[in-house]
Amino acid sequence: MSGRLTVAQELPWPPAVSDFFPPNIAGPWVTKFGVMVWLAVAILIVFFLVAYRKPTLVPSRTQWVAESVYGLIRDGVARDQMGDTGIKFAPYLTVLFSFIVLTNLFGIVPGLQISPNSHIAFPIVLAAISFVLYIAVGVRKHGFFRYLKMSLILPGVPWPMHFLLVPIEFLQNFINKPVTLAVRLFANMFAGHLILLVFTVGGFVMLSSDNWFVQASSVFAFLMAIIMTFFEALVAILQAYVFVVLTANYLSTSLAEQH
Amino acid sequence: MADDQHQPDSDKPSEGVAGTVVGYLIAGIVGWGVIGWLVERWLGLPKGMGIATGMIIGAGGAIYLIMKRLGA
Amino acid sequence: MNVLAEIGGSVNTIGYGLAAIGPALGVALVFAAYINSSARQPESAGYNRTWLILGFALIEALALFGLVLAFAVGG
Repeated sequence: MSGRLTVAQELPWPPAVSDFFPPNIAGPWVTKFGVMVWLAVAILIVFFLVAYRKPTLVPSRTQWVAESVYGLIRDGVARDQMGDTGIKFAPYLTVLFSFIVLTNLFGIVPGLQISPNSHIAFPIVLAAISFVLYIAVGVRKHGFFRYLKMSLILPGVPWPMHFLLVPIEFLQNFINKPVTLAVRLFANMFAGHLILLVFTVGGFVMLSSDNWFVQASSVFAFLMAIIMTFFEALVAILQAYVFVVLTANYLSTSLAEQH
Repeated sequence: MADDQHQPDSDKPSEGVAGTVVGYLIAGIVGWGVIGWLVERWLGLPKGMGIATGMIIGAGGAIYLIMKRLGA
Repeated sequence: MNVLAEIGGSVNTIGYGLAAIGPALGVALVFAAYINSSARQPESAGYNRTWLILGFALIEALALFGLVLAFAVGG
């Protein structure tokens, strides 16, 4: 037995962040993320079309699954947060929820083991769409200046305090909300991906060592990778749900009546 | 001001409350810190005083807003 | 003046780490008091919620000062 403990052989060590991004497929225009997003959109379109091809009153199985997804979002989220005026936003929220769940679950599907949401660009776009939507809804309902007044000025405050409070309210409403929506989704997916990579690659690194104890304890690394995969599935669905609930909450704040 | 759309903080503190509190605090401290820093550059005050004053004012304003929105 | 020992790298994070001890204990005390009082007398939970929010906000402001200053002061 040699006097050294070799931990890593023939692996890029230490790995840089750029080692974790998937390679381009066809030039810089078609990347693995692009193909995955197209795949998610195609699955959603095909599923919902097939489920509603011949709707019957007593639903068949695919139709029942599609209806329960829509019913979960419409009753549990839209009607709960916004009342009956929220039903017209339920289709957007359902599609948002299904798309985020699918792209998050791509993080644990073998072969495609990364979620597009672990790249900051995709959650930025989703949060930007929700942000523009709730501002547009508020402006269309109340008019531009009354909407600003409603969201920035708090009633029952002596008016010199408003110079203090308006920048805080502006930052909180118009910058904090979309940024935290995007960053929450991105950070959860990125951290989950990194944890899975640490345990899996660490397991392989430990397995290729030349010390039998280190090789034997790589079993624990692989076991933790399996446990974290199940945890990752839970986090995927939970983060999609939180995104949709917060979007509905911001929409309800925009639609609220005057004080 | 009985808008019942703010359901999460109806009768018990929930996660929405913690997010709101920390969000207002960060917005107040960072926002007024930046304003204080700009005032310091514009008026030529001793170094660091503008940021500190701005952050304290911002924290005070943020706590006032939190109590207004979430207090009983 | 001879330099005998020196800490290199970012000292801001050491400062923030030290500054985070106090607020962590403070918030724990506030929430422990709220949970204790709500368990002993559940009707007081609604009344005490005001003080819970106020206490948490005041203490968290100090913690966030530390966080913001760790990034804002050039280092």
